[in-house]
Amino acid sequence: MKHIITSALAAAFALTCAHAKEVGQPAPEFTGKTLTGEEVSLSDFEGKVVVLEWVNFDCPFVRKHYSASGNMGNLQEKYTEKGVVWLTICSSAEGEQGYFKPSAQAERAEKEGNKATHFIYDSDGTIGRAFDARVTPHMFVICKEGVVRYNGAIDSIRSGNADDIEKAEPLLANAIDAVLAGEEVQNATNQPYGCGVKY
Amino acid sequence: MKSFIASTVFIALPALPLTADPVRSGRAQVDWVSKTVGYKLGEPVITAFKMILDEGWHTYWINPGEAGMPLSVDIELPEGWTSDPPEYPLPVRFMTGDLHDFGYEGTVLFPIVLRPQTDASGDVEIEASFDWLTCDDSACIPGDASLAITLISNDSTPTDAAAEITETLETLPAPAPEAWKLHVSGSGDSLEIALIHPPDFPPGGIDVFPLSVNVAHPGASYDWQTENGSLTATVPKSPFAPDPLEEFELVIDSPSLEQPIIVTWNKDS
Repeated sequence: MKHIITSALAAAFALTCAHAKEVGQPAPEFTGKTLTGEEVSLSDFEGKVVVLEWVNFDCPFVRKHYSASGNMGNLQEKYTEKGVVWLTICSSAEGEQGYFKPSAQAERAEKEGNKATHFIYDSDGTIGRAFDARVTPHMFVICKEGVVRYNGAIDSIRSGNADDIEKAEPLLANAIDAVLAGEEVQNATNQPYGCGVKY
Repeated sequence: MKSFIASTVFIALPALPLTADPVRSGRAQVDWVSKTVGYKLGEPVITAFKMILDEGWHTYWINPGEAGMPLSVDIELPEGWTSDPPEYPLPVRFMTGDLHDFGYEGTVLFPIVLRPQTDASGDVEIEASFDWLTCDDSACIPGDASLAITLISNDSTPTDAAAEITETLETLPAPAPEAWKLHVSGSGDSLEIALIHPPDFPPGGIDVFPLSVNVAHPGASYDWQTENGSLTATVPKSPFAPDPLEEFELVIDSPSLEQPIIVTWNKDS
């Protein structure tokens, strides 16, 4: 049998199926600092449904859901009013797109209409790597028992156009609704779309 | 087979200044060019959206990989005219941070075929909105432009862009001849791929790109084995692959092929 290697890519890639395996598994514990310097751990929210959102305000896909539509802020407001804890996390490294010093990031978050429970500063990427957050926005839903129930996109249309939001299937909202209702999440693992997280 | 086409989303852009000249937006200079100065009844007009990307920046293939998005085009056609979706040349692979992506660097042309109304007459101006994404390792910048093209009646004189459009057309992926067959099966986290090729095809040196989104992992390395006139490879599945698999299209490039070919498998084949 003749052996032909053709791909330009090295075979040594660590290709994991982490996305697919995470749903149904306990969420990794983490502790991060908010923009005001307060320490927040996932375990602080035991018994509550938690949404994790990866953000980079200069990514066009994030703009679609913030400044171009207000969609993300509306979702944050709607679900935090229902008792959901919403953690917006920025894993952009210093010098990369989306990184701002805490005070500037706080100003930007307010200007963008962010209404999350906490905005967590993760410029060393520790939390992002633990969840294998790939793009912005990348969304996770964790149930009251601390198990990941959703890992994927905010909605079903991979575009930067805010006009598509109304036409898209609201995958994240459907997942949160299902978790709050104690039901199984449909399409619980799907490909998030966006800009790569700027680790 | 599913056509190799694809603008996925038509965009309603805010009013951009309409222009027939090149435009800078995102990290690229773009232009809408035609192979001929005009049109002739019954003949397609070959145009192309041309992008000259800034050094170090890239844009995306129809299967962008793990991040990014493909070009979107919305053409306002005169009554009775039709158009085909943009066609995508063979991409290159690149990494955006940790992500495996497919797309283009440098200069790329996306051919777009326009078809005149059967009894069209007079010169026509056609407008289109284009929307794309450019990224480098540390940032992504969207681009958009509203461009116009004027076509003179009954005139197929080549333009200055004719040569580069022709060159692009000659290297576009095209449906494979019937002698080529693709078989795919899923096994756990892997895909078993068998590629049957014509007997006189020398199998060395082929490169492949997954046209289908979310079937093969975008970072897959294809380690082909030759066996009884076919090539086989086992590659990681996309974590988002449907179960069961329904369809898989692969673009194959080889020095032995005149132009890249598209092979297709579906569950009913």
